[in-house]
Amino acid sequence: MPGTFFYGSIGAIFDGLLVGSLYGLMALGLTLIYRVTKIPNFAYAEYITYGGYAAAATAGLAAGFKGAAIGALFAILVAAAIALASDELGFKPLWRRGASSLHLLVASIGIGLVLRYGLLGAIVLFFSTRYLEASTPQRSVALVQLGGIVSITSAHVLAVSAAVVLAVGLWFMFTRTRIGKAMRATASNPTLARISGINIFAVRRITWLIAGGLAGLAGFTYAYYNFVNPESGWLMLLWIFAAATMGGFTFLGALISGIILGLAEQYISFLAQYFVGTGAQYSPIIALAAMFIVLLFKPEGVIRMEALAVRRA
Amino acid sequence: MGGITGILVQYAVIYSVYAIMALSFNIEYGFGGIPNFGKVLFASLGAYSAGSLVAYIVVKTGSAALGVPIKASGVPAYCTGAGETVMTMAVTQGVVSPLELFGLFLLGLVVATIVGMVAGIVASYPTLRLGGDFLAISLLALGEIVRIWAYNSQWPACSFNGISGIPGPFAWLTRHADAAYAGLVLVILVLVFLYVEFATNSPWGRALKAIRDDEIAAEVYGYNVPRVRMQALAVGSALAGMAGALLAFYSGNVNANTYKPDLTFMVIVATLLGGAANNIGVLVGTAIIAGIEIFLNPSSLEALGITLPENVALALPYMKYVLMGLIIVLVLLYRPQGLIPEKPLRVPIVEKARQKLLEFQKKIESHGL
Repeated sequence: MPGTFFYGSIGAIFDGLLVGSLYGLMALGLTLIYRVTKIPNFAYAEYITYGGYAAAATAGLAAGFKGAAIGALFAILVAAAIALASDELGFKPLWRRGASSLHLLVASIGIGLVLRYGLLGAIVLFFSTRYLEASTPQRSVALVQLGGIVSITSAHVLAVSAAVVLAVGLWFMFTRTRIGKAMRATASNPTLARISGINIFAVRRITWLIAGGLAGLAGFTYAYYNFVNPESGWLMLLWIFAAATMGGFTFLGALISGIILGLAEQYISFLAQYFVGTGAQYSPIIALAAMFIVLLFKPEGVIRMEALAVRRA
Repeated sequence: MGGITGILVQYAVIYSVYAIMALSFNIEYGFGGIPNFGKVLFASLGAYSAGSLVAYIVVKTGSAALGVPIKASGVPAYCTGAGETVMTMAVTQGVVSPLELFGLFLLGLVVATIVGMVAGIVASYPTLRLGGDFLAISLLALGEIVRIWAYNSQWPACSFNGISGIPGPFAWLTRHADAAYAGLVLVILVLVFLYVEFATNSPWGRALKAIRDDEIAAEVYGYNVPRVRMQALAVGSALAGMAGALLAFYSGNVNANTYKPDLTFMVIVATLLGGAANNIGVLVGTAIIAGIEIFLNPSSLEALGITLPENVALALPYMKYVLMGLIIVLVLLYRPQGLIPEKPLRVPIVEKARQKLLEFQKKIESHGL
C-alpha cells in the first residue's frame, strides 16, 4: 500500500513537470531573441503577463473549449504585438545606434518597467483593483486521479505538449529551414547577411513576432491553471533566464533545463516540507543558484542540444 | 509648513543615500566598466549587519538595565515585540545616553562598511570570468538569492517582518530628530563625494578607466587587471554597505523587501541619466530620480496641499516606475553619455604632450610640409 510519501512524490513530480515545461516554454522565446538579436531581454517577462491578461479578458467571450481557443489566440496576438512594438520603438533604434549588449540589457529593464507598471497603473486608474488578479473562466480540469491526492490536469497536458512540440519545431525551423538560415546569418553578421540579399529587418520582425507569440501562449497556459497578476511574469523572469542559460541558449537545451529546474524546485521543496516541515519557501534559491553557478563556471551552457554551427539547410 | 519641511528632510536623506549608492556604482560601472547589478545586495548586507548589531546591543543592555527579561525562542531577541519596546524604553529612559547612541551609530556604520567591502571582494570573483551582460545577470541573481534567504530566515533580519525600532543617533531628541539626521547624512555625502572625486582622479582612477576602455592594452601596460577590479568592487561595495546602514538608521527598519532589484535599477538610472564617469553628473541624476521617488507620492503631494482623486493616488506609485523606465530608454536613445558627459583626462603629463603635439604641428605647417 503506497503511502502519502509515494503519492506526494508523484504529485511533486507532476507539478514539477508542469512548472518546468512552462519555464522551458517561456525560455524558448527568450532564447530565440537572444540567438538572433543578442539582447538579454528582461522585458520578455512582461509579454507573458500581457498574454495572460489578454487570455483572461477574452476567454469569457465563448463558453468551454471555444472560449479557451479564443483566449489563446488573443494571448498570442497581443503578446506578439507588444514584443514587436518594444523592438520597433526601443531595441531596434538602439541597435542601429550601436548600443552595447549591456545598454540593451538596461534598456530592456526600462521597457519592462514601463510595461509592467504601466499595466498595474492602468488597471488601478481605469479599471478596478479586483483585476489585479485574473484568470481564464475555463479552468484546468483533472483528467486522471491517482490515490485521491494526485491529479493529472488538462494544464499538465497542455504545458508539456506545447513545450515539447514548440521546442522541436523551433529547433527544426532554426536549423533546417530557409528562414532559420536567414536568422542565423543575421545573428552572426548583419552586414554580410544584408549584402547577401537577406532582408534583415524582416527577419528581425519575424523573430520578435514568434518570440512574442510563444510568450503569449505561455501566458495563456499560466492564466489557465493559475492566477495571473501584473507582476507574475517578472517573478518568473530569473527562472526563465536560468533555464535559458543552463540550456546554453539552445531550444532543446532550454526545454530540458526548464524541466530539470521545475522538477528540482518542486521535488526539493516537497522533501523539505515532508521531512523538515518547513524550508519550502527557500526553493526559489535553487534555480537562481543553478544559474549563478552555470554562468560562473560554464557560461556556454550545460545542456547544449545542438551545435552552434549547423551543417546544412 | 510642517508638512513641507518634513518632505524636504525626507528628500535630503533619501537623496544622500541614493547618491552614495550611485557614486559607488559610478566607481564600478562608470569608471571601471563593471556592471554591478547586485548593488542592493551590498546595501542590504550593510543594513542587516548595522541594524541587527545595534538592535542586539541596545536590547541586551536595555533588558538588563530595565530588568525586563525577553523570552525569545529560536528568534533573535530584537525580533520580538518586547524587544522593540525595550529599545524605545532604553532610549527614552536614558539607559543608552545620546553619546552612546552616536557611538553605536558610528559602530554600525563602520561594521556595515567593512561587511560591504568583504562582500565586494568575494563578489569580484565572477568578474574574473565574466563580463558585460552575463556578469550583470549573475550579480543580479546573487542579490536575489540573498534577499530570498533574508526574507525567510529569522537571522539576521527577522524574516518578512524585518527589524523595526532601531534607534538612530538622534533618537533621544524629542523634536527635529529627522532634520538633525538629514544634516548628518548630508555631511557624510559630501565626504563620500570628495573621496570618490579624489579616488577617481588619481592614478588608480585612471587605471580603472584604462581597463574599462581596453583591458588588453591596460594589461600590456602592466596593470594587474583582476586586482584593480577587485579594489573597485571593494570600494564600491563598502560605500553601498554604508548607504544601506544610513537608510536603516533613518527609518529604524530593515526589511529584506526594501532591497529588490528595482532599487538597483533606480541607482543605474540615476547614474546613466546624470552621466556615467562624471561624479557631478551622478549627483544631478540622483537629484532627479530621488525627486521622482519622493515627490511623486500621494502622501507627499497631500502634504504640499495637492489632493488627488482616489484612483490617481493609487496609480501614482506605479507611474513613478513607468516614468523611470521611459527616462532610461530615452537617455540611452538620445543622450547615451548622460546629462553631464565624462570629461576628457586633464593631468600635467597629458597637457604637456598635447602642447608638444601642437608645437610639432605648427612646425610642420611653417615648413610647408
